[in-house]
Amino acid sequence: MTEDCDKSEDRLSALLDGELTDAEERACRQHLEACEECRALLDRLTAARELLRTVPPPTPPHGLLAAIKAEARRDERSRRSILERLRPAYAVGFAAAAAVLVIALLPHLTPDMTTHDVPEYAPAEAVEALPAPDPTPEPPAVAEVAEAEAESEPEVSADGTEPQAEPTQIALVRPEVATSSVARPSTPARAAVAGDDAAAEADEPAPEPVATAPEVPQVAYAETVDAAVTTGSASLGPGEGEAAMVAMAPRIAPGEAAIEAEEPAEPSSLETEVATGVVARMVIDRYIANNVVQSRPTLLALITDTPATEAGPVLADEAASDRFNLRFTESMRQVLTGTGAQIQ
Amino acid sequence: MGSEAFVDREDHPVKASGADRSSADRADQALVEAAQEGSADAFGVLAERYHNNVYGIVYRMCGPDEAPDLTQEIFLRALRALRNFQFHGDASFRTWLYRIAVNACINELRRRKRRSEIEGPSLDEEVKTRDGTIARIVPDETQSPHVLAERREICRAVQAIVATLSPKHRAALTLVDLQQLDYEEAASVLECPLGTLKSRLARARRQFAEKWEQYEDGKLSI
Repeated sequence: MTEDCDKSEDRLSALLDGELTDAEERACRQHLEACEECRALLDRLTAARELLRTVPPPTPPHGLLAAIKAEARRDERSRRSILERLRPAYAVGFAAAAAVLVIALLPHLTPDMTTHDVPEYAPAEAVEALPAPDPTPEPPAVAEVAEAEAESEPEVSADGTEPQAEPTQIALVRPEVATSSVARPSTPARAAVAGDDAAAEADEPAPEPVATAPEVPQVAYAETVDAAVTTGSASLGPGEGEAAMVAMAPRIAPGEAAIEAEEPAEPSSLETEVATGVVARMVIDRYIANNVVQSRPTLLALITDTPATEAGPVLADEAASDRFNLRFTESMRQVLTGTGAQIQ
Repeated sequence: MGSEAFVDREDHPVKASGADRSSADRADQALVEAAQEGSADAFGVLAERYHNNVYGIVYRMCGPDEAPDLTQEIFLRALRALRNFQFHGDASFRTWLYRIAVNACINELRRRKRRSEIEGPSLDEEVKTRDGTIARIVPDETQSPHVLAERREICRAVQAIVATLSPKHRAALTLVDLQQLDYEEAASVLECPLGTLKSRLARARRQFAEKWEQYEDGKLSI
């Protein structure tokens, strides 16, 4: 027995199976010629291998295959049954998850993502009535959503009349808006979608949801705030637009918004002009105070083109507006020319 | 999907060349995919193809008594693993199935060993002698007629001696000599390097040869 013999057992076994490379086989056969012990071992391995390979494979008992197939079918039926039982649970689970997701995301949704009919900033009374900022949704808002979801089911009445879309928009109002007194839908609006009388009332014009009612102020505020924000550092700082509206709130007919909640009515043109003009005046004053321009006439010259029309100077184009980092608005022009509504 | 969609027209040889095996693997693939989608019929065809070989592995490694039940359990385990997408097609279905079978057998042998350590040896389990471990053969009246019919003398002796080998040596011998897998596939089934398989096989063959000689010389009673 040599050192090669210790290694040869694996090689002899593999030689029998033809699993050696040509080089390995040549080396193995050379060793076999010189080593009698390894030749004896090869004989024993060969005999063992032949014996093992001549043993007939055992025959599976009759019925084993049928039992396996039956087991597979039983397993398949069981699996389908489980899936069918789980299907309603899946649906309920999905609906619940969707509801939780909507509620969780509600405070983060921008007004544009919820509804276009709700003003970005509520009228003065609504602003004053706002609760302190709270990152967590108020329970009433959640209730609103749940209620709206519950109400949304009988969307199609018994006679197949079209459902009203407005309540859904109300349900998606940001919590702080939804909890304010003016944001709640009027009672008739709820009855129109919730009760059995929905079909009877469907022919009547649905009352405008309160939160969407004061459309004119919405335009005015949006314009003024937008103007204030876009003027950048030369005019109002961040949040000053809102402050300006709060400050001017008492001048816009206190209590009107609550009344409008019941009976939507357009604000007078005077109110609109005043609201617009107040903010425009603040922008102008801030602009002059920051020494961007020295006086109102200078600013008027800046934002208007010449020659003036019969109605007075006209606003410069947008290119000039961008050049001076100041959004030129009609209300500014009116303030500067003294043609708009004045609050003195 | 009806069962006629999965008619097994191939009679796979036990010893398959690489090309044959590749062809068989491709033929299995469609069945495997259908089974993964829940077709019991497709799985039934796979069972038709491989239940003989799986039964042979179990029979050689664990003996005849529990081979039917264990074979059935192996197929059920494979079915559930398939449906859980634990078979990704990185190996052939056959190799994957044999791996499940060998692992199930090794686990079964370990269970028996633990049971034996707790309860003591049963009358038909292995006995340690001065010449090594041998199987104790006693008449078993509980065995079914088909098993008794198979027990011709030489088969019984071979089975008894194979049963004396360690589980890993037994597995290598069963796969290569009894199921006639090539080294590469056997190593894949056992999840071991090729060199390890060669060593295990060579040792198993030598041990088998020594005990067979003892048996023929009357030094080992079976």
